[in-house]
Amino acid sequence: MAYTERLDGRKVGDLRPMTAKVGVIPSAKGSAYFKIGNTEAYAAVYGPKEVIPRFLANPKKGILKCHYNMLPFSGTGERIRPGNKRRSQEISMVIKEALEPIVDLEAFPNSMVEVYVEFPQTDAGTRCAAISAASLALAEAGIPMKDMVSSVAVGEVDGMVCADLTYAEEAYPGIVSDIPVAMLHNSKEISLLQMDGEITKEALIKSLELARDATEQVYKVQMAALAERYKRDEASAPKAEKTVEGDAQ
Amino acid sequence: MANGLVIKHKDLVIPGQQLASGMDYLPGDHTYREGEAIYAKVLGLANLAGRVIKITPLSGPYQPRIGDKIIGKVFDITMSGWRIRTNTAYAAMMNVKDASNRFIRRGEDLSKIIGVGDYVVVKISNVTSQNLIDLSMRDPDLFKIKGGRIVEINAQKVPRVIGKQGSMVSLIKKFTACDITVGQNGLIFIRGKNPENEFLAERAVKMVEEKSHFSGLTEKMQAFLETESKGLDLTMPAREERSERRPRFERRDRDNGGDRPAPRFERKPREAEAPQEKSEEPKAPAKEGGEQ
Repeated sequence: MAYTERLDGRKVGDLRPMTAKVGVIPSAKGSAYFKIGNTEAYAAVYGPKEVIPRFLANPKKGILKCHYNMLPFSGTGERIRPGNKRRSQEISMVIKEALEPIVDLEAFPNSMVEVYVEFPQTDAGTRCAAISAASLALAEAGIPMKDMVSSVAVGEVDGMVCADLTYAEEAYPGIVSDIPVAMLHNSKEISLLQMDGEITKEALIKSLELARDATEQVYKVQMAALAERYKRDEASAPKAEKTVEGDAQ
Repeated sequence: MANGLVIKHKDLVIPGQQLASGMDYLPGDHTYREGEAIYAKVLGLANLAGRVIKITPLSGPYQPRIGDKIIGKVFDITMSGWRIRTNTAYAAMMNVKDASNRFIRRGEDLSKIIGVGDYVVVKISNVTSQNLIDLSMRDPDLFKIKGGRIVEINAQKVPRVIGKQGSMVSLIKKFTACDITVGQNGLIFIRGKNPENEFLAERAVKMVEEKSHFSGLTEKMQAFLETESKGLDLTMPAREERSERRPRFERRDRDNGGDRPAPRFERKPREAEAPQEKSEEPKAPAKEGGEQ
Protein backbone atom coordinates (compact mmCIF):
# COMPACT_ATOMS: atom_id res chain seq x y z
CA MET A 1 0.00 0.00 0.00
CA ALA A 2 2.75 2.31 -0.89
CA TYR A 3 1.94 5.82 -1.98
CA THR A 4 1.87 5.48 -5.78
CA GLU A 5 -0.42 8.27 -6.87
CA ARG A 6 -0.52 11.71 -5.28
CA LEU A 7 -3.69 12.67 -3.46
CA ASP A 8 -4.36 15.63 -5.73
CA GLY A 9 -3.32 13.83 -8.91
CA ARG A 10 -0.10 15.78 -9.52
CA LYS A 11 3.03 14.24 -10.99
CA VAL A 12 5.98 13.91 -8.62
CA GLY A 13 7.77 17.04 -9.87
CA ASP A 14 4.65 19.17 -10.23
CA LEU A 15 4.06 22.09 -7.93
CA ARG A 16 0.64 23.31 -6.94
CA PRO A 17 -0.67 26.16 -9.13
CA MET A 18 1.19 29.38 -8.35
CA THR A 19 0.16 33.03 -8.59
CA ALA A 20 2.49 35.92 -7.84
CA LYS A 21 1.83 39.63 -7.86
CA VAL A 22 4.08 42.50 -6.93
CA GLY A 23 3.11 45.88 -5.51
CA VAL A 24 0.01 44.83 -3.62
CA ILE A 25 0.52 47.03 -0.56
CA PRO A 26 0.80 50.67 -1.64
CA SER A 27 2.22 52.10 1.57
CA ALA A 28 5.06 49.59 1.75
CA LYS A 29 8.32 50.25 -0.08
CA GLY A 30 7.91 46.88 -1.71
CA SER A 31 5.32 44.17 -1.43
CA ALA A 32 4.30 40.87 -2.97
CA TYR A 33 1.55 38.31 -2.94
CA PHE A 34 2.52 34.71 -3.50
CA LYS A 35 0.03 31.88 -3.68
CA ILE A 36 0.88 28.24 -4.09
CA GLY A 37 -2.09 25.91 -3.90
CA ASN A 38 -4.06 26.97 -0.85
CA THR A 39 -1.13 28.69 0.81
CA GLU A 40 -1.26 32.45 0.40
CA ALA A 41 1.44 34.84 1.57
CA TYR A 42 1.59 38.61 1.65
CA ALA A 43 5.02 40.12 2.10
CA ALA A 44 5.75 43.79 2.77
CA VAL A 45 9.13 45.46 2.96
CA TYR A 46 9.86 48.69 4.81
CA GLY A 47 13.11 50.59 5.00
CA PRO A 48 16.04 50.96 5.04
CA LYS A 49 15.30 52.86 8.18
CA GLU A 50 16.76 53.74 11.56
CA VAL A 51 17.53 50.70 13.69
CA ILE A 52 15.32 50.21 16.73
CA PRO A 53 16.53 49.26 19.31
CA ARG A 54 19.60 51.32 18.64
CA PHE A 55 22.17 48.93 20.10
CA LEU A 56 21.48 46.47 17.28
CA ALA A 57 22.82 48.91 14.71
CA ASN A 58 25.93 47.72 12.94
CA PRO A 59 28.19 50.38 11.44
CA LYS A 60 29.58 47.91 8.90
CA LYS A 61 26.38 46.54 7.44
CA GLY A 62 22.63 46.80 7.62
CA ILE A 63 20.40 44.33 9.37
CA LEU A 64 17.43 42.42 8.07
CA LYS A 65 14.42 41.80 10.27
CA CYS A 66 11.74 39.31 9.36
CA HIS A 67 8.34 38.77 10.89
CA TYR A 68 6.35 35.67 10.03
CA ASN A 69 2.73 35.47 11.09
CA MET A 70 -0.25 33.27 10.39
CA LEU A 71 -3.56 35.07 10.74
CA PRO A 72 -6.00 33.65 13.33
CA PHE A 73 -8.39 32.28 10.70
CA SER A 74 -5.74 30.99 8.31
CA GLY A 75 -5.58 27.35 9.37
CA THR A 76 -8.06 24.55 8.94
CA GLY A 77 -10.74 26.15 11.09
CA GLU A 78 -9.19 26.06 14.51
CA ARG A 79 -8.44 29.60 15.61
CA ILE A 80 -4.72 30.28 15.71
CA ARG A 81 -3.91 32.31 18.78
CA PRO A 82 -2.49 35.64 17.60
CA GLY A 83 0.84 36.86 18.78
CA ASN A 84 4.39 35.69 18.83
CA LYS A 85 4.98 32.00 19.27
CA ARG A 86 8.03 29.83 19.46
CA ARG A 87 7.15 28.46 16.05
CA SER A 88 6.74 31.81 14.33
CA GLN A 89 9.91 33.10 15.99
CA GLU A 90 11.86 30.20 14.61
CA ILE A 91 10.40 30.57 11.14
CA SER A 92 11.09 34.31 11.19
CA MET A 93 14.70 33.46 11.93
CA VAL A 94 15.05 30.87 9.17
CA ILE A 95 13.43 33.25 6.66
CA LYS A 96 15.93 35.91 7.64
CA GLU A 97 18.81 33.49 7.21
CA ALA A 98 17.47 32.35 3.87
CA LEU A 99 17.31 35.94 2.61
CA GLU A 100 20.57 37.27 4.04
CA PRO A 101 22.82 35.68 1.39
CA ILE A 102 21.11 37.60 -1.40
CA VAL A 103 20.69 41.03 0.18
CA ASP A 104 23.65 43.40 -0.18
CA LEU A 105 23.68 44.45 3.46
CA GLU A 106 26.87 46.53 3.13
CA ALA A 107 24.88 49.00 1.03
CA PHE A 108 23.02 50.35 4.03
CA PRO A 109 25.17 50.44 7.18
CA ASN A 110 23.58 51.41 10.49
CA SER A 111 20.10 50.78 9.23
CA MET A 112 17.59 48.00 8.92
CA VAL A 113 15.15 46.57 6.42
CA GLU A 114 12.00 45.02 7.77
CA VAL A 115 10.13 42.21 6.06
CA TYR A 116 6.66 41.25 7.19
CA VAL A 117 4.97 38.11 5.91
CA GLU A 118 1.34 37.41 6.74
CA PHE A 119 -0.75 34.40 5.81
CA PRO A 120 -4.49 34.71 5.29
CA GLN A 121 -4.70 31.05 4.35
CA THR A 122 -2.33 28.15 4.84
CA ASP A 123 -1.93 24.60 3.60
CA ALA A 124 1.66 23.49 4.24
CA GLY A 125 4.77 25.07 2.81
CA THR A 126 4.33 28.44 4.49
CA ARG A 127 7.98 29.15 5.17
CA CYS A 128 8.74 28.43 1.52
CA ALA A 129 5.96 30.71 0.34
CA ALA A 130 7.22 33.35 2.78
CA ILE A 131 10.73 33.25 1.34
CA SER A 132 9.53 33.38 -2.26
CA ALA A 133 7.21 36.30 -1.47
CA ALA A 134 9.82 38.15 0.57
CA SER A 135 12.36 37.83 -2.22
CA LEU A 136 9.88 39.43 -4.61
CA ALA A 137 9.00 42.19 -2.18
CA LEU A 138 12.67 43.01 -1.55
CA ALA A 139 13.27 43.25 -5.30
CA GLU A 140 10.33 45.58 -5.74
CA ALA A 141 11.52 47.73 -2.86
CA GLY A 142 14.75 48.35 -4.79
CA ILE A 143 16.95 46.82 -2.11
CA PRO A 144 20.30 45.89 -3.70
CA MET A 145 20.37 42.12 -4.09
CA LYS A 146 22.84 39.88 -5.81
CA ASP A 147 20.30 37.23 -6.72
CA MET A 148 16.74 36.02 -6.25
CA VAL A 149 15.90 33.22 -3.87
CA SER A 150 13.12 30.75 -4.60
CA SER A 151 11.81 28.22 -2.19
CA VAL A 152 9.66 25.12 -2.21
CA ALA A 153 9.35 21.98 -0.11
CA VAL A 154 10.26 18.51 -1.29
CA GLY A 155 9.98 15.23 0.54
CA GLU A 156 9.22 11.58 0.59
CA VAL A 157 5.68 10.38 1.21
CA ASP A 158 5.60 6.70 2.02
CA GLY A 159 8.27 5.81 -0.50
CA MET A 160 7.55 8.43 -3.18
CA VAL A 161 9.86 11.40 -3.56
CA CYS A 162 7.77 14.39 -4.59
CA ALA A 163 7.76 18.18 -4.65
CA ASP A 164 5.60 20.70 -2.84
CA LEU A 165 3.75 18.61 -0.28
CA THR A 166 0.26 19.59 0.82
CA TYR A 167 -0.90 19.28 4.40
CA ALA A 168 -2.75 16.08 3.53
CA GLU A 169 0.48 14.57 2.25
CA GLU A 170 2.45 15.71 5.28
CA ALA A 171 -0.15 13.98 7.45
CA TYR A 172 -0.18 10.82 5.34
CA PRO A 173 -0.15 7.68 7.46
CA GLY A 174 3.24 6.17 6.81
CA ILE A 175 6.81 7.42 6.76
CA VAL A 176 6.80 11.00 5.54
CA SER A 177 9.62 13.52 5.31
CA ASP A 178 9.10 17.19 4.57
CA ILE A 179 12.14 19.18 3.47
CA PRO A 180 11.73 22.90 2.82
CA VAL A 181 14.50 24.11 0.52
CA ALA A 182 15.42 27.64 -0.55
CA MET A 183 17.83 28.01 -3.43
CA LEU A 184 19.65 30.96 -4.96
CA HIS A 185 18.95 31.13 -8.64
CA ASN A 186 22.41 31.68 -10.13
CA SER A 187 24.73 29.80 -7.84
CA LYS A 188 22.18 27.13 -6.86
CA GLU A 189 23.39 27.57 -3.29
CA ILE A 190 20.97 26.36 -0.68
CA SER A 191 20.01 29.01 1.87
CA LEU A 192 17.36 27.03 3.73
CA LEU A 193 17.33 23.32 4.42
CA GLN A 194 15.24 21.83 7.18
CA MET A 195 13.62 18.49 7.65
CA ASP A 196 10.73 16.98 9.46
CA GLY A 197 10.29 13.18 9.58
CA GLU A 198 12.71 10.53 8.40
CA ILE A 199 14.37 9.74 5.08
CA THR A 200 17.11 7.54 3.66
CA LYS A 201 20.32 9.01 2.26
CA GLU A 202 19.40 7.99 -1.29
CA ALA A 203 15.93 9.52 -1.07
CA LEU A 204 17.38 12.74 0.38
CA ILE A 205 19.78 13.11 -2.53
CA LYS A 206 16.93 12.40 -4.94
CA SER A 207 14.72 15.00 -3.21
CA LEU A 208 17.40 17.65 -3.44
CA GLU A 209 17.81 16.95 -7.15
CA LEU A 210 14.08 17.46 -7.45
CA ALA A 211 14.31 20.69 -5.43
CA ARG A 212 16.67 22.16 -8.00
CA ASP A 213 14.04 21.80 -10.68
CA ALA A 214 11.15 22.78 -8.40
CA THR A 215 12.76 26.06 -7.25
CA GLU A 216 13.41 26.87 -10.88
CA GLN A 217 9.67 26.67 -11.51
CA VAL A 218 9.09 29.09 -8.63
CA TYR A 219 11.76 31.42 -10.05
CA LYS A 220 9.95 31.59 -13.40
CA VAL A 221 6.76 32.69 -11.63
CA GLN A 222 8.69 35.29 -9.63
CA MET A 223 10.38 36.65 -12.73
CA ALA A 224 7.06 36.94 -14.55
CA ALA A 225 5.52 38.78 -11.59
CA LEU A 226 8.28 41.41 -11.58
CA ALA A 227 8.04 41.86 -15.34
CA GLU A 228 4.28 42.29 -15.02
CA ARG A 229 4.70 45.06 -12.46
CA TYR A 230 6.60 47.29 -14.85
CA LYS A 231 5.00 46.20 -18.06
CA ARG A 232 5.10 48.98 -20.61
CA ASP A 233 1.89 47.99 -22.20
CA GLU A 234 0.62 51.07 -23.96
CA ALA A 235 -2.90 49.64 -23.98
CA SER A 236 -2.98 49.76 -20.20
CA ALA A 237 -2.05 53.42 -20.06
CA PRO A 238 -5.33 55.00 -21.26
CA LYS A 239 -7.26 52.65 -19.01
CA ALA A 240 -5.36 53.86 -16.00
CA GLU A 241 -6.03 57.46 -16.97
CA LYS A 242 -9.71 56.77 -17.19
CA THR A 243 -9.82 55.59 -13.61
CA VAL A 244 -8.13 58.80 -12.53
CA GLU A 245 -10.82 60.77 -14.29
CA GLY A 246 -13.46 58.58 -12.74
CA ASP A 247 -12.21 59.52 -9.31
CA ALA A 248 -12.78 63.18 -9.97
CA GLN A 249 -16.40 62.87 -10.96
CA MET B 1 29.58 30.86 -23.16
CA ALA B 2 29.80 33.33 -25.98
CA ASN B 3 30.93 36.84 -25.36
CA GLY B 4 28.32 39.49 -25.51
CA LEU B 5 25.13 40.96 -24.28
CA VAL B 6 22.29 38.87 -23.01
CA ILE B 7 19.83 41.75 -22.73
CA LYS B 8 18.85 44.75 -24.83
CA HIS B 9 18.99 48.46 -24.04
CA LYS B 10 16.00 49.54 -21.87
CA ASP B 11 15.08 45.98 -20.96
CA LEU B 12 13.58 45.36 -17.55
CA VAL B 13 16.01 43.33 -15.49
CA ILE B 14 15.58 41.70 -12.12
CA PRO B 15 18.18 41.15 -9.38
CA GLY B 16 20.58 38.36 -10.22
CA GLN B 17 19.72 38.41 -13.90
CA GLN B 18 22.68 37.99 -16.20
CA LEU B 19 23.33 41.05 -18.37
CA ALA B 20 26.40 40.06 -20.35
CA SER B 21 29.09 37.46 -20.50
CA GLY B 22 32.74 37.84 -21.28
CA MET B 23 35.06 40.77 -20.64
CA ASP B 24 33.83 42.97 -23.50
CA TYR B 25 31.46 44.84 -21.23
CA LEU B 26 32.04 46.68 -17.98
CA PRO B 27 29.78 46.63 -14.92
CA GLY B 28 28.33 50.08 -14.15
CA ASP B 29 25.97 51.29 -11.42
CA HIS B 30 23.85 48.63 -9.68
CA THR B 31 25.56 45.74 -11.41
CA TYR B 32 28.34 43.37 -10.41
CA ARG B 33 30.75 41.03 -12.08
CA GLU B 34 31.15 37.47 -10.95
CA GLY B 35 33.52 35.33 -12.90
CA GLU B 36 33.12 36.24 -16.54
CA ALA B 37 29.55 37.44 -16.35
CA ILE B 38 27.86 40.66 -15.31
CA TYR B 39 24.70 40.50 -13.23
CA ALA B 40 22.03 42.96 -12.15
CA LYS B 41 21.84 44.03 -8.54
CA VAL B 42 18.47 45.81 -8.52
CA LEU B 43 15.17 45.81 -10.31
CA GLY B 44 15.38 48.37 -13.09
CA LEU B 45 15.94 49.21 -16.70
CA ALA B 46 19.20 48.22 -18.33
CA ASN B 47 21.17 51.10 -19.74
CA LEU B 48 23.95 50.68 -22.26
CA ALA B 49 26.51 53.42 -22.57
CA GLY B 50 29.27 52.19 -24.86
CA ARG B 51 30.85 49.25 -23.11
CA VAL B 52 29.40 50.08 -19.74
CA ILE B 53 26.18 48.43 -18.60
CA LYS B 54 24.32 50.14 -15.81
CA ILE B 55 20.84 49.95 -14.40
CA THR B 56 18.36 52.74 -13.84
CA PRO B 57 16.53 51.53 -10.74
CA LEU B 58 12.75 51.73 -10.68
CA SER B 59 12.55 51.89 -6.93
CA GLY B 60 14.78 51.97 -3.93
CA PRO B 61 16.02 54.15 -1.15
CA TYR B 62 17.41 57.64 -1.63
CA GLN B 63 21.20 57.81 -1.70
CA PRO B 64 22.25 61.16 -0.22
CA ARG B 65 24.73 63.14 -2.34
CA ILE B 66 26.53 66.39 -1.74
CA GLY B 67 24.74 69.32 -3.34
CA ASP B 68 21.31 67.73 -3.49
CA LYS B 69 18.38 69.90 -2.56
CA ILE B 70 16.11 67.92 -0.27
CA ILE B 71 13.11 68.47 1.97
CA GLY B 72 13.37 67.38 5.57
CA LYS B 73 11.43 67.51 8.80
CA VAL B 74 12.92 68.84 12.00
CA PHE B 75 12.52 66.31 14.77
CA ASP B 76 14.93 67.54 17.40
CA ILE B 77 16.84 70.63 18.43
CA THR B 78 20.28 70.36 20.00
CA MET B 79 22.75 72.89 21.44
CA SER B 80 24.33 73.49 18.09
CA GLY B 81 21.54 73.06 15.61
CA TRP B 82 18.65 71.05 14.30
CA ARG B 83 18.29 67.34 13.68
CA ILE B 84 16.32 66.62 10.55
CA ARG B 85 14.63 63.52 9.13
CA THR B 86 15.50 63.19 5.48
CA ASN B 87 13.40 60.24 4.31
CA THR B 88 16.46 58.03 4.59
CA ALA B 89 17.53 55.72 7.36
CA TYR B 90 19.88 58.39 8.62
CA ALA B 91 19.11 61.57 10.53
CA ALA B 92 20.77 64.72 9.26
CA MET B 93 22.19 67.66 11.17
CA MET B 94 21.93 71.34 10.37
CA ASN B 95 24.31 73.52 12.30
CA VAL B 96 23.24 76.95 13.59
CA LYS B 97 25.76 78.69 11.37
CA ASP B 98 24.34 76.96 8.29
CA ALA B 99 20.73 77.78 9.06
CA SER B 100 20.55 81.42 8.21
CA ASN B 101 22.42 84.39 6.86
CA ARG B 102 21.19 86.27 9.88
CA PHE B 103 23.44 86.33 12.90
CA ILE B 104 22.04 84.03 15.57
CA ARG B 105 23.05 85.14 19.02
CA ARG B 106 24.52 82.74 21.54
CA GLY B 107 21.79 81.26 23.70
CA GLU B 108 19.02 82.28 21.36
CA ASP B 109 15.96 80.03 21.41
CA LEU B 110 16.45 77.95 18.27
CA SER B 111 12.89 76.62 18.35
CA LYS B 112 11.67 80.16 17.58
CA ILE B 113 13.64 80.10 14.34
CA ILE B 114 12.78 76.59 13.19
CA GLY B 115 10.57 74.55 15.45
CA VAL B 116 10.24 70.82 15.92
CA GLY B 117 7.92 69.47 13.24
CA ASP B 118 8.72 72.16 10.67
CA TYR B 119 9.63 71.17 7.15
CA VAL B 120 12.62 72.83 5.54
CA VAL B 121 14.05 72.94 2.05
CA VAL B 122 17.78 72.39 2.53
CA LYS B 123 20.91 71.47 0.65
CA ILE B 124 23.25 68.63 1.54
CA SER B 125 26.65 70.10 2.32
CA ASN B 126 28.42 66.90 3.34
CA VAL B 127 27.89 63.15 3.49
CA THR B 128 30.20 60.74 5.29
CA SER B 129 30.92 57.13 4.44
CA GLN B 130 28.49 56.14 7.17
CA ASN B 131 25.84 58.27 5.49
CA LEU B 132 25.80 60.96 8.15
CA ILE B 133 24.41 64.07 6.52
CA ASP B 134 25.21 67.75 7.05
CA LEU B 135 22.67 70.26 5.82
CA SER B 136 22.69 73.93 4.99
CA MET B 137 19.91 76.45 4.49
CA ARG B 138 22.00 79.45 3.52
CA ASP B 139 21.35 79.56 -0.21
CA PRO B 140 18.64 81.95 -1.43
CA ASP B 141 16.51 79.12 -2.81
CA LEU B 142 16.34 77.33 0.53
CA PHE B 143 13.70 78.12 3.09
CA LYS B 144 11.44 76.98 5.86
CA ILE B 145 8.12 75.69 4.56
CA LYS B 146 4.90 77.39 5.57
CA GLY B 147 1.50 76.11 4.52
CA GLY B 148 0.98 73.93 1.48
CA ARG B 149 1.37 70.18 1.54
CA ILE B 150 4.10 67.58 1.33
CA VAL B 151 3.77 64.68 -1.06
CA GLU B 152 6.05 61.69 -0.81
CA ILE B 153 7.14 59.72 -3.84
CA ASN B 154 9.85 57.22 -4.54
CA ALA B 155 13.17 59.04 -4.74
CA GLN B 156 14.13 57.19 -7.91
CA LYS B 157 11.20 58.83 -9.70
CA VAL B 158 12.32 62.38 -8.90
CA PRO B 159 14.17 62.94 -12.20
CA ARG B 160 10.98 62.04 -14.04
CA VAL B 161 8.88 64.44 -11.96
CA ILE B 162 11.31 67.24 -12.79
CA GLY B 163 11.59 66.24 -16.44
CA LYS B 164 14.15 67.38 -18.97
CA GLN B 165 15.21 70.88 -17.94
CA GLY B 166 12.27 70.95 -15.56
CA SER B 167 9.73 70.40 -18.34
CA MET B 168 7.43 68.17 -16.32
CA VAL B 169 7.41 70.23 -13.16
CA SER B 170 6.87 73.49 -15.04
CA LEU B 171 3.98 71.90 -16.90
CA ILE B 172 2.33 70.95 -13.63
CA LYS B 173 3.06 74.39 -12.22
CA LYS B 174 1.49 76.04 -15.23
CA PHE B 175 -1.74 74.07 -15.11
CA THR B 176 -2.24 74.10 -11.36
CA ALA B 177 -0.79 77.49 -10.44
CA CYS B 178 1.03 75.84 -7.59
CA ASP B 179 4.45 76.44 -6.25
CA ILE B 180 6.28 73.14 -6.43
CA THR B 181 9.60 72.38 -4.82
CA VAL B 182 10.94 68.92 -5.57
CA GLY B 183 13.37 67.50 -3.05
CA GLN B 184 15.82 64.93 -4.41
CA ASN B 185 14.86 62.65 -1.51
CA GLY B 186 11.35 62.20 -2.86
CA LEU B 187 9.51 64.75 -0.76
CA ILE B 188 7.67 67.34 -2.79
CA PHE B 189 6.31 70.60 -1.43
CA ILE B 190 3.18 71.83 -3.16
CA ARG B 191 1.54 75.10 -2.31
CA GLY B 192 -1.31 76.58 -4.26
CA LYS B 193 -3.95 79.22 -3.83
CA ASN B 194 -6.57 76.75 -2.75
CA PRO B 195 -6.75 73.06 -1.89
CA GLU B 196 -8.25 72.07 -5.27
CA ASN B 197 -5.14 73.24 -7.10
CA GLU B 198 -2.93 71.42 -4.62
CA PHE B 199 -4.93 68.23 -5.02
CA LEU B 200 -4.58 68.36 -8.77
CA ALA B 201 -0.84 68.94 -8.52
CA GLU B 202 -0.59 66.07 -6.07
CA ARG B 203 -2.48 63.75 -8.40
CA ALA B 204 -0.28 64.81 -11.30
CA VAL B 205 2.85 64.06 -9.30
CA LYS B 206 1.50 60.68 -8.24
CA MET B 207 0.67 59.94 -11.85
CA VAL B 208 4.25 60.63 -12.90
CA GLU B 209 5.45 58.30 -10.16
CA GLU B 210 3.05 55.60 -11.29
CA LYS B 211 3.86 55.85 -14.97
CA SER B 212 7.48 56.88 -14.82
CA HIS B 213 8.60 54.00 -17.01
CA PHE B 214 6.27 54.95 -19.89
CA SER B 215 7.46 57.00 -22.80
CA GLY B 216 5.64 60.12 -23.97
CA LEU B 217 4.65 60.93 -20.43
CA THR B 218 4.82 64.70 -20.89
CA GLU B 219 2.17 64.61 -23.64
CA LYS B 220 -0.07 62.40 -21.52
CA MET B 221 0.39 64.75 -18.59
CA GLN B 222 -0.47 67.75 -20.74
CA ALA B 223 -3.73 66.11 -21.84
CA PHE B 224 -4.55 65.08 -18.30
CA LEU B 225 -3.92 68.53 -16.88
CA GLU B 226 -5.81 70.31 -19.65
CA THR B 227 -8.99 68.43 -18.87
CA GLU B 228 -8.57 68.44 -15.12
CA SER B 229 -7.59 72.05 -14.61
CA LYS B 230 -10.83 73.44 -16.03
CA GLY B 231 -12.59 75.62 -13.55
CA LEU B 232 -9.55 76.13 -11.36
CA ASP B 233 -8.28 79.53 -10.37
CA LEU B 234 -4.99 79.66 -12.21
CA THR B 235 -3.50 82.85 -10.85
CA MET B 236 -0.24 82.24 -9.10
CA PRO B 237 -0.09 82.82 -5.38
CA ALA B 238 1.75 85.97 -4.39
CA ARG B 239 5.43 85.51 -3.72
CA GLU B 240 5.06 86.84 -0.20
CA GLU B 241 2.87 83.96 0.84
CA ARG B 242 5.17 81.29 -0.46
CA SER B 243 7.64 80.98 2.29
CA GLU B 244 9.23 82.69 5.13
CA ARG B 245 12.37 84.30 3.77
CA ARG B 246 14.63 85.77 6.30
CA PRO B 247 16.18 89.08 5.29
CA ARG B 248 19.89 89.52 5.75
CA PHE B 249 20.88 91.06 9.00
CA GLU B 250 21.83 94.48 7.69
CA ARG B 251 19.82 94.64 4.54
CA ARG B 252 17.72 97.73 4.04
CA ASP B 253 14.09 97.12 3.45
CA ARG B 254 13.57 98.41 -0.07
CA ASP B 255 9.82 98.51 0.32
CA ASN B 256 10.27 101.24 2.86
CA GLY B 257 12.48 103.46 0.80
CA GLY B 258 15.58 101.86 2.13
CA ASP B 259 15.87 104.07 5.16
CA ARG B 260 14.73 101.58 7.72
CA PRO B 261 16.62 98.51 8.80
CA ALA B 262 15.20 95.17 7.83
CA PRO B 263 12.69 93.73 10.24
CA ARG B 264 14.05 91.27 12.71
CA PHE B 265 13.10 87.67 12.37
CA GLU B 266 10.45 87.64 15.07
CA ARG B 267 8.47 90.43 13.46
CA LYS B 268 5.05 89.48 12.20
CA PRO B 269 4.65 89.24 8.41
CA ARG B 270 3.68 92.45 6.72
CA GLU B 271 -0.03 91.92 6.73
CA ALA B 272 -0.90 95.34 5.36
CA GLU B 273 1.19 95.00 2.24
CA ALA B 274 0.56 91.49 1.03
CA PRO B 275 -3.10 91.80 -0.08
CA GLN B 276 -2.38 95.17 -1.67
CA GLU B 277 0.25 93.68 -3.92
CA LYS B 278 -2.07 90.91 -4.96
CA SER B 279 -4.85 93.25 -6.05
CA GLU B 280 -2.47 95.37 -8.08
CA GLU B 281 -1.15 92.64 -10.29
CA PRO B 282 -3.08 89.47 -9.74
CA LYS B 283 -1.61 87.61 -12.66
CA ALA B 284 2.01 88.25 -11.82
CA PRO B 285 3.60 84.86 -12.34
CA ALA B 286 5.69 84.98 -9.23
CA LYS B 287 9.09 84.33 -10.77
CA GLU B 288 8.26 81.28 -12.83
CA GLY B 289 10.46 78.30 -12.26
CA GLY B 290 12.13 79.76 -9.24
CA GLU B 291 11.95 76.48 -7.48
CA GLN B 292 12.18 72.97 -8.71
